[in-house]
Amino acid sequence: MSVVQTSSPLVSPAPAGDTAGRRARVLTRLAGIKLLSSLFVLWGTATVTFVVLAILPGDRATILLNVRSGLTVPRSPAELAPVNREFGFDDSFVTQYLTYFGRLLHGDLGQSYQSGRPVATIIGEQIGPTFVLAFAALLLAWVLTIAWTLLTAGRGPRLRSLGSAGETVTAGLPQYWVGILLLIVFAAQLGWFPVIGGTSPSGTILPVITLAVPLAGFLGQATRTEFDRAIREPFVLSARTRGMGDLEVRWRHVLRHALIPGITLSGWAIGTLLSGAVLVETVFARPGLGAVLVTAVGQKDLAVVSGIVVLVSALYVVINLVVDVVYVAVDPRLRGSL
Amino acid sequence: MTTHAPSRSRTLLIVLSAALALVLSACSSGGGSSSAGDGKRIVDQTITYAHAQEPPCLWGGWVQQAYLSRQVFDSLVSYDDGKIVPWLATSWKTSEDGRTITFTLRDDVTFTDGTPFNADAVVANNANWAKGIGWNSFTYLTDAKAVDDHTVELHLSQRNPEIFQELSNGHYGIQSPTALTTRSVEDNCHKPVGSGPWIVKQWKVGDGIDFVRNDDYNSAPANAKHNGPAYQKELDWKFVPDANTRWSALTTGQADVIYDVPSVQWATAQKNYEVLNFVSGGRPQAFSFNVQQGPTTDKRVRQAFLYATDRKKIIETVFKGSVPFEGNGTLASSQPDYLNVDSAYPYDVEKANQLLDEAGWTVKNKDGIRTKDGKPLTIRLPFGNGAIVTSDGSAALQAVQDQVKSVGIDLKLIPLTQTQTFAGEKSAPDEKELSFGYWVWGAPNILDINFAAKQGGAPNGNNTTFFDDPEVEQKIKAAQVETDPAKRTAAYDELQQYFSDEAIAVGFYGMTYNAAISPKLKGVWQDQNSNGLLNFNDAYFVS
Amino acid sequence: MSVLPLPVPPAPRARRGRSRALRVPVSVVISAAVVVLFVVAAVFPGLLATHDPLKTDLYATLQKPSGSHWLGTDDVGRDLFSRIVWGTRTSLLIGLGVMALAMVVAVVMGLASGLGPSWVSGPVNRLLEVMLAFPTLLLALLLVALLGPSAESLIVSVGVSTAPGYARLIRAQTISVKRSGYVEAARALGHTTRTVVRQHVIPNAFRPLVALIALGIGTSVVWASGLSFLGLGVAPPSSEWGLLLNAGKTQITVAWWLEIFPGLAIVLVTLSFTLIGRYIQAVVEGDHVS
Repeated sequence: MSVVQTSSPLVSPAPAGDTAGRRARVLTRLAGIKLLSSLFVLWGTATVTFVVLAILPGDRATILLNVRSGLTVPRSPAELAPVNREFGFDDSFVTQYLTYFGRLLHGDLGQSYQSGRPVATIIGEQIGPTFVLAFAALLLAWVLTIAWTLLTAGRGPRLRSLGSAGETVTAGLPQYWVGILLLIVFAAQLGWFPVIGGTSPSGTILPVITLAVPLAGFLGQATRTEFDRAIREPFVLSARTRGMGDLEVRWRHVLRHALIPGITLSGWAIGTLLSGAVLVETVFARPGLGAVLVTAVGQKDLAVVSGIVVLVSALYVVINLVVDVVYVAVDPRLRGSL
Repeated sequence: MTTHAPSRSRTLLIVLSAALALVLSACSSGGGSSSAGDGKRIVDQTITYAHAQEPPCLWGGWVQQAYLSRQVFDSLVSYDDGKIVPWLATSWKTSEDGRTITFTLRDDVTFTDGTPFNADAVVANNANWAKGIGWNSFTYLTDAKAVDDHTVELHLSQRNPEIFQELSNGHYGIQSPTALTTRSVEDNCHKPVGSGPWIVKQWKVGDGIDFVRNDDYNSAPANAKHNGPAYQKELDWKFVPDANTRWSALTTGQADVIYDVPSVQWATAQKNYEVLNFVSGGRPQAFSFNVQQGPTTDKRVRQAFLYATDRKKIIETVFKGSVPFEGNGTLASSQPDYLNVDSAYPYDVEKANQLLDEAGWTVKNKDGIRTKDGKPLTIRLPFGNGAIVTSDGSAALQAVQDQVKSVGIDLKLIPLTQTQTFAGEKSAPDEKELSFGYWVWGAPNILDINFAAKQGGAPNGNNTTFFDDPEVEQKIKAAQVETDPAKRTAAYDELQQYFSDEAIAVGFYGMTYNAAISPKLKGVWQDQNSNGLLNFNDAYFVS
Repeated sequence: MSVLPLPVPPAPRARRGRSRALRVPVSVVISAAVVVLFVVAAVFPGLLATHDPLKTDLYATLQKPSGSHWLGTDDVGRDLFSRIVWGTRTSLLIGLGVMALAMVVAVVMGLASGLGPSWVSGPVNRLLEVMLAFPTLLLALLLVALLGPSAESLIVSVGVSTAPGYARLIRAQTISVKRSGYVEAARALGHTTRTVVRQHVIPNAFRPLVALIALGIGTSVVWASGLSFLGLGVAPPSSEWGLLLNAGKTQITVAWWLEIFPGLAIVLVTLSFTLIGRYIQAVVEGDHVS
């Protein structure tokens, strides 16, 4: 299944009456297509990154010389020539691309031309904090969403509009703004959290909240719409007539349905969380891929930027696969289809 | 061969043994805890310091790198408020033609990897400077030669009386030659080996650097407060880009020392903390008018621009005392040959209008902008947003923009991204009428760097005014090889007056490095040479 | 915050909602009023502003909100209220520009992918997949860092970065309409493909876009201000809201108003557009809950 079609092929019920052998063949074929399509996505993102960094303005040799010396001046051809030679910047576009891609194929992400450090090392150092941040935020966002939905969705009009208002407001909050306010109030003024939290658990709490609150708003909106729809379905009534308690009905039947759009969104959310991490890491001076990325983009450090891009797109592909699986686990109607 | 006294000391010959100097300085600092005067000394702790920017490599040509290098490397000489004092070199001589400097080196210093410090180490480092410091040629250093084990000659392409001050800045630290030749670029970048008071334990990129004490340290400069290992065990160097976060770290006790206090907190910092404040050498944050093409080739337009702005008031308002107003656009106030021209171009709107009328910019368009031959009086000012000009600096420029508008000048502020800034974009004479920026440098040959028309045969990228006057350039080149202090000062005074009178380069504010220190920590000091590097070796906590 | 998480509406329903008179909720009425107010601010800032937004007053800096300066003044004495009012034009223009660009790209890609022959839809789909794998901010960051900071490059970079998400929705919508029963019915009745596409697929696929655009303007404003916040925004002395937030950040410990009010303006605009968008969405989907 292609990444784009997160919902369509799986949602459409599998044709009835498949023989086991045919199903296995279909599945193998599907898996093959999916693998190819994933590889294509990886190649595509790496290529787009290369092209964008190569064709857009800003001479890389000049940047290198200036960053090294702390200057911001134009450089003469005599100064640029050795740098261009060393890094192959004066090779033809195609040669540069082939070198770059050949390296990637060998699993070599190259070296940062600013610090001379291997990109794999740089990413290896920074990936942990960013992942902790992103996944903790996703988790917290889901906890908030579920609690809020159970509390306010499918209730009386007052509670419902309160719930909906809460989601709409939080979904529109600019993350960096929330982050600054939380930092000033809870870390600087009240002193409940460290100001320079680094990667310590206590320093991770505020950044996680910053990322999770707007996301919870988004997930909440999607979940609520579905929740309100599902609670009016006949199976809810039948569950109630069987004597099931209100909370149990909500928890076991309605919520399960309501989660589906939100789960689809979770794949998307990881991308957003990584974007948000760039801003939140800046606000909280927290190590992570965000700060590295901003610096590397600023210095046109191709190897570092493309290393991060390839990593993130690989993650995107994997997460969408996971989402598909979770999807099936949550929606019993789809179980027969895989 | 005569021996020149380093810098402008009148003594004919300085052959100070390092040991003697150190004994003297140890005596003057007096018996340990008693001189602290405020409680007991607490040692073997961790100092937490919050710095702003994180460079890609621990050493190199960028000021941010000098801050770090200073913790790990020793230099040949040290700068002590106008005097050059011994460090790794115990004495030095300058040849008659000024192009050979002979250093006598200490023979009891070892790098932290066990390599002995000697003349060969200096030769290896000279080659490394040439490769790793982008502006090394401005010191006129060429090659180095080991005379014997502990005597080394540095050669210059031309006489440079300021070479000692340049060698004493943080960029010219001495690294272990063994480490330089046997280890990877990455290792030498992130965990370089020196003989200094601190050793890099770990560089956590994006977070900070953990330094541990060099327990065998015995090579402090003569102007240090003590020779020997640091009083504290660890130095926790954090990178915290946001000024308010650094400030909050200090107020909550998370950091003991912070760099660059936010202006809005400067008054509080002065009241509640020890503050250090150092105006860097070289050139201040200054306006450089394009004198090659466009409306600013007319001196009257340049002067009108200056009369139209209340620069002093703007700086006082925006920086709230943390950064001083500076009227001199060619040399920084901490530079020995600095000339004070703060009274030039006071705020005088009437005069500005009169000058612009005289210059023929008489008709105003519907936006209130003066025009001449139908062309509006537009002055474009591209500036490195964040990298060169801080948020406060940008606010100050916006105040200038508003003020010059009242006399009919349209100042266009063009922020550049970091990419554009470092790619040297918008630096051609037809892309701007005005430049704004600073140049940290330890010697007055900054004039040659900034105003020479050509550098090594190519157009000089550091010449943001596009100034091209062979006669003046000749005077600049003559001044910097002048060895008679009085003549030298006179020559530089004349040049600074010239650039101010002609309104080619005029100052705005001093490039200032400040720090605030918790009252619990004593003994942190700031090197007084060009970039105000911090020394933590002498720091101790008090109860 | 990036690609709008609009649940893809199931199948377009017949226009049965028409018969039921819909009562417009109070929140939507208020939102509409807020949007009108901001539009007025954007078109005629002079009507609302109390001061010249660029006039500095070095003797009245960092003033608290008061009768003469409703929202206080900044570090060079400019009136914050007037700056926010004038900044509305830039911020909303960026929001609209982003959506316009994103929609053009998304509609072309979405339709090509959903309706085009396989030699068109195939490559377009692949391109879409690649673009979707880029986190929004990453692509925007790349573009704006290299194009230089300006309103135009914010529009281009945020527009291009958010377009794939919308394109995916349009594609899904188009496909689901194409496969729905009534299109088959129309075919069975002998309508040509062109007629079916023009009269049924496009209108039905595009109706949810109205909601999408309303929702997207708000999020675009937030995205653009995020880039401004990273120092990749509009040139000073503009008072684009993200720029105000970026400048206010350095003063926050002594002048909270400089950080709070521009942030509230962003939240208010996003909120209003979202409420309106969701209302439209509900109406279009025909399952509006009264």
